[in-house]
Amino acid sequence: MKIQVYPPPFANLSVLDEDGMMVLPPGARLATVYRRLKIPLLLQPLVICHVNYQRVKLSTQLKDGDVISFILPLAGG
Amino acid sequence: MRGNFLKGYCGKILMVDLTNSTFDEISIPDTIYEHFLSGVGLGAYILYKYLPPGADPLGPDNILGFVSGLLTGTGSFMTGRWLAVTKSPLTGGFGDANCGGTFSPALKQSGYDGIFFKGQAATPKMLLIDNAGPQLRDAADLWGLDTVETEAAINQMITANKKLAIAAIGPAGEHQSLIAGISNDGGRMAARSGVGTVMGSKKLKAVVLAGSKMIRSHDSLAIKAISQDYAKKVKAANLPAMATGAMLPMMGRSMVATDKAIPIDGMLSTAIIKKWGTGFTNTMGITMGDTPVKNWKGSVADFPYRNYRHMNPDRIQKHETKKYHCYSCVIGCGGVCDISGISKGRFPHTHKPEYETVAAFGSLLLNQNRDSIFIINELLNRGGMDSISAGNTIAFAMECYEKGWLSQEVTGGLDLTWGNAPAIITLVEQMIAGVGFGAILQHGVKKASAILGIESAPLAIHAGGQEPGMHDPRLDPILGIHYCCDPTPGRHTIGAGSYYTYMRIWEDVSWAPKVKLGEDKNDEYEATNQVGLKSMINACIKQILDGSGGCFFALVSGLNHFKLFDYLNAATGWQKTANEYMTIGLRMQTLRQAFNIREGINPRDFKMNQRLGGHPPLTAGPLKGKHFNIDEMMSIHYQFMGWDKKTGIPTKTALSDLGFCDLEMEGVTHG
Amino acid sequence: MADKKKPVIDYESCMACGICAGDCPLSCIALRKTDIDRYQKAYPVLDEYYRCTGCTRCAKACPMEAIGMM
Repeated sequence: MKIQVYPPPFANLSVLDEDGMMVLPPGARLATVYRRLKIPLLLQPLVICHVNYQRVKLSTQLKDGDVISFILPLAGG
Repeated sequence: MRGNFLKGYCGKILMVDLTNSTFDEISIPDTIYEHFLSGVGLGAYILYKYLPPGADPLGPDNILGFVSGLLTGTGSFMTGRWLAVTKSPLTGGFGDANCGGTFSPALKQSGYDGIFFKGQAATPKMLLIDNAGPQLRDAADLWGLDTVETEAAINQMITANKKLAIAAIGPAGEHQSLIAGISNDGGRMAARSGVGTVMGSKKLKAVVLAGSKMIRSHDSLAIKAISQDYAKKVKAANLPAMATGAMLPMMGRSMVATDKAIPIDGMLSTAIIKKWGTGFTNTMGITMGDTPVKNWKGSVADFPYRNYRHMNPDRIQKHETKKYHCYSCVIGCGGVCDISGISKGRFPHTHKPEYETVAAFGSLLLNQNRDSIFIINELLNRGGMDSISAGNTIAFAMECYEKGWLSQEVTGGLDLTWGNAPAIITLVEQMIAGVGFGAILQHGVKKASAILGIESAPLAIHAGGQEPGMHDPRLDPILGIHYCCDPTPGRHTIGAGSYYTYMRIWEDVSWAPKVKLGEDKNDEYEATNQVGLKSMINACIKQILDGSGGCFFALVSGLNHFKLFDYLNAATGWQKTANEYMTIGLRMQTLRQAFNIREGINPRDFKMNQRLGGHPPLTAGPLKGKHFNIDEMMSIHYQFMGWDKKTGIPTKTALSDLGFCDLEMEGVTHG
Repeated sequence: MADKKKPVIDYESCMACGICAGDCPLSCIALRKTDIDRYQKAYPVLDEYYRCTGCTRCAKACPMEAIGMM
């Protein structure tokens, strides 16, 4: 299955294609995405992850077409 | 005419002649809205049509308009912004300033998409519109009051069924400081382009609105559906409770750790704005290089942790008593702060200082005194002065002082050493009052440099007379393109490479290039076609947003969430595609450029100070060595806008393609 | 007037956007309830119960359909 990922800048990006898609085996959980992206433990408190714009547990099972987004700050003022 | 009432807009404007105290209601045909939307587009159209070419910006011929957005009041979210439009006394070209609060819906509830003023009153006046219609009232008693006092006095003076929406100038606008703005809601400022100066020149102290007319749209159920979908996502976007402001500098460093582009979901960024407002980037911007330091010549090395930690948004928010948000906003970036203790009883509260103010009076001046920034913020809001311009101007003075070009004799005894907070506060007070050394600085950096002598020009950071926002083009060169190429130069809210990434406009606009994961961000330092195209798209979508009354933070939350085009179709009943709307945006921007050409502006004169292009490059910090060719960047933008690559003048073909010939807009100049 | 139906706000679905307060022709609704969410966002309250004519404009304008007339 294929999911859309908006990764944080410090993630391991080599696991995504140029559109930010990740291919996962059926039944994969959110924790698998964390593992593959290699999110540093130190930054995990600031990183927040949503699946389809809702907060879910790391054990959540994913399905094809899910959108997984990590928070990123932006400039403005 | 009846049809207009079901299209989200009112279909008419009010023209007030202040010289003769007369009112003229002007019907606007549907085709004008279809060509220019409302808001800034309508404003540009009216200015182009009614302003005599070559008018003195501070003379009776200039026109000052207050315009709301096409979507304002239709049930759409994040569309409560209004703009002041005029011929700018700062740049000599088109001027506008964007502001939130409750004034934008009040404009339409008064029955008008825009209220325009021409002429000059002999004595101070204010305009009042309630359901009985418009009337000019004497405002001599209000002249001299600050903006907060003015609102309080007007609320005492006028009783209406509806809570008054008041836009007013302070002392800075009254005595014609060129960087004066217009305030509403006790300190929300439409500050740029010197719009408050023009209001002061017309002896117009305030615009007071109390109408309660209905705003009807074509399909209000469809609008609600879009709004609910957006709200659901915003509601779910929250930072974990353990996230603190102390983590933001680290976040900033990680943002610049890679040169690779990364797809970004703007929606979740709204979680950060919900928590801190614009203050989230007070410290983060410094570590990532976005925030200017020491009049744009320093870096985090000059303003390290021990200095910038005082701007931690958590510490600012300790003073926040409640959130403040504009009409129809579901994010809520503003706040009200209790500063009675800080100001020793002088001011009870202030709007939470925006990032722009914190940066302009913090790192830009090497000032680490947070309390001083609260006070300066309130002084500027009350005085009605642009904080970005004021900060840049003082930074210029401080650099001149450092070089020994300014003695204490000239500064009136003020010691303008970097970071001297008491001196900065005094100088701000002088600028607002137009006295002492402040009388030299009160007109912005270009004029101050002209007074102080030619050798100071390289230190005067501006683009075409307008001081730039607190975001560094050396980090994001496309931002620099907009600083130089927009008809209102020096704006940080037109666009940037990063904003382009957040918008995800390629999901709607077929010809917009997609940002691919892993793209080299360094490519944006070259004047490539890709850069030209992105900057052109930024400029167009920003016009559509400003024609709709939309908020910039909604735009960067992503057009995949904030369905701007769907909103417009639902409100008006049009069935336009995103591509067609982009043509409208291009037409609006081209009209603003054509206005500048008609007023004798040479677009190339809007080229920003070389320092902002990295000439010479910084020698420390995250932007060390970064530079780009400003002239080439301007050329590529002009080319993609359909303007002459060399001169920036819209070409005959572009004007004809955009349908200017059919609109009977005589004299739209072409190259 | 007092027997007319008045707006009742459902704070579960309310987004504190302020559209009801801005659209009320008599400004009966004020944004001042700050204990709903963790951000201290200012939520609407029907401050002027007796002035309210029950015109339903707020309920119709609310994009979240969070206002009922009771």
